Amino acid sequence: MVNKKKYFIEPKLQLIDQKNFIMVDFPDSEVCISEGVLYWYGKVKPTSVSKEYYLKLEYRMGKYPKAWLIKEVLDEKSAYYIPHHYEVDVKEGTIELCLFKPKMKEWMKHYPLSRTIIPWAIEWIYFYEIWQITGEWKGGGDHPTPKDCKNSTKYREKFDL
Amino acid sequence: MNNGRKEYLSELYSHIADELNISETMMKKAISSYSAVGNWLGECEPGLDVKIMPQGSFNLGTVIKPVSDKDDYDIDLVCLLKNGSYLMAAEIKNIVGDRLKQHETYGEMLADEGKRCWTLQYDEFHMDVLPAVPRNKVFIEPTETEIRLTHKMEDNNYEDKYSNPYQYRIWFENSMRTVLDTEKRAFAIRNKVEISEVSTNKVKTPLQKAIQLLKRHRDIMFEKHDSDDAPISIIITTLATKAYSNETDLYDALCNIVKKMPQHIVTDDEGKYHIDNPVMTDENFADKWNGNPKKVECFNKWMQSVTDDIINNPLTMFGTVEISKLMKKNFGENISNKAYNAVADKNRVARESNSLYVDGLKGGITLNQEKNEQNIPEHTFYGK
Repeated sequence: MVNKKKYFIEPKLQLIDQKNFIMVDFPDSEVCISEGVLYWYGKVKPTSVSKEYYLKLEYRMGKYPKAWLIKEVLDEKSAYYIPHHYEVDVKEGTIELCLFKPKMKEWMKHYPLSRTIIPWAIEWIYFYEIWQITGEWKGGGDHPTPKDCKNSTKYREKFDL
Repeated sequence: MNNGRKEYLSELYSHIADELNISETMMKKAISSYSAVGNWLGECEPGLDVKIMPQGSFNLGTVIKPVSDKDDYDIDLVCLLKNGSYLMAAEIKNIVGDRLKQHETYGEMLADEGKRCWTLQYDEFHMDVLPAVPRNKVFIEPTETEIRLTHKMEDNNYEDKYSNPYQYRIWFENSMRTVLDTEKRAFAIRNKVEISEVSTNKVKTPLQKAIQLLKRHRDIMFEKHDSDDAPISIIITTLATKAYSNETDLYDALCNIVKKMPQHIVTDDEGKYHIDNPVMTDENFADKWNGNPKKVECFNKWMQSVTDDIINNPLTMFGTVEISKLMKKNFGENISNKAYNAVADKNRVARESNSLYVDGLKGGITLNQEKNEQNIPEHTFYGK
C-alpha cells in the first residue's frame, strides 16, 4: 500500500468510506462522523497479557489524522521522556502519538485509517510498554532535526498537523 | 487457560533462557583452555593414556551465566587416566595435581586441593578437573564408561567414589529424544551441516531451557543467604529430566516439570532421601540431605517459590509491566531487559519486512496471520 507508484493516483477516501473500513476491520469499536470530523474510540491491547488502553483518533478531510492514547496515568518526570510523541498532557493523561513521517508520504488520503493509523497506534503502545520495562525504545523511527524542534509550531503548521 | 497468555510467557521464557546462555566467545575460550590443559596432562606419562572430557552442564547444554559479573562460569572436566585402573585413590589425585603444579602457569592458577577436584582459576571461569580412572580396567564408549574417582576425607585419607558422566549424558539425551532430534534437524538445515555433527550443547530443547531457568531462579533466590544449602544443579537437572515428557512448548514443559519434580525424590525404609543417579544407582545425589535437614528445607522452599514465581503468578498478574517486575525479580534485571528487548527487536524486524500483524483490537501484535489479522505496514515513528 505504502509503496504504490506515484503516478498511480487512487481516489481519496471520503469520511464515510473511512468509517466503513473501520467498521469492517474493527467492528468492536466506536466510530462516528460529526461536522466534517471522523472520531474513533477503541479499547486496545498490544499483547494478550497487556492491560487495556484507550485510543482516540480524529480525522478531518484535508488534514493529517491525529491519534491519542488517553486515560493514561502519567507523572511529570517520566512523561518528559516518553519517546515519539507530539504533546503530553499529564493532568488529562493524554499522549498524542507520532506514527508516521509526513514527508515520506507514509500516510496518504487514500489509505484506510483502519489499516494504517490504528494498527500503528496499537504497535506504538507495544513499544511504549517495552520502553516502560527496559528503558529503551525498540520501535525504530526518526527524530525531527533540532531545527524542526525549534520551529515546531511552524513545522506543524507547514504539515497541517 | 488463556492461550494467548501461555504463548506470551513461553516466548518470553525462551528469550530469557537464550540470554542465560554462555556466549560464543566464552565457549571458545573455555574449549581452547581445556584442550590446552588436556594436552599438558596428556604428556605426563604417555603410558597412562590421558583423556579429558567435559562433564556437567557444559556437556548437557545447560550452562548459565553467573548472576554477578564478579562470579565465574563453572567448567567441569573429567581427567581420565585410561590405563590407570590399578592406581590407588591418593595416587590418582596426586599424579594429576603434581603434573598441574609442574606447569609454570597452571601452577600459579591452581587453588588449594578440593575434595574431589583440582581447580584452575582463569579470569572469567574456573575449571574443576576431576582425576579419575576406569572403574573396570578399561574405558570403552559406549558400554564400559563407569569411572572411579577420589574423595579426600576429613582425616586426609582418600576413598574411592564412582560415577558415569558419559552414560548420564546419554540418559539425558534419551529423555528428550523426540524434541532433541527435531531441534538438531532444524539446526543442521539452518547451518547446512550433517545432523550427526550437531552436538547436544549446540541446540536447546524446552527441557534444557527449563533447567537453565530453574537454575537461574535458584542462583538468585540463594544469592544472599543459605547459598551453601541451595539445591545443587545435578539434583535440579536429574529431577527435571525425570519429570519431562517431551513437551514442545516451554511453558507446558515448565508446568509439568515443576509439578512432578518432587515425585522423583524417594525415601527409603530408613527414612533416607534418595535422588539416585539414574545410570548408577549406588550414587545418591541427595546424600548430603541425610544429616542436614536445612538442605531439604531449602529445596522445599525453593520448589514452592518456583511454583509461584514461574508458573502461577504470571498467569494472574495484570499487565505486561507488572509481569516484567516479577521476571526481573526471578531472573535478574539485566537478563530480563535483554530478553524483552530481543522480543521487541524481532517484532520490529518483522514489521520492516511487512510480516507483523495486529490481531483485532485486543489480540495484540503477532507474527502469525491466521484469519483476519491486519498487516502493519512499514512506517516511521516520528517526533520527540
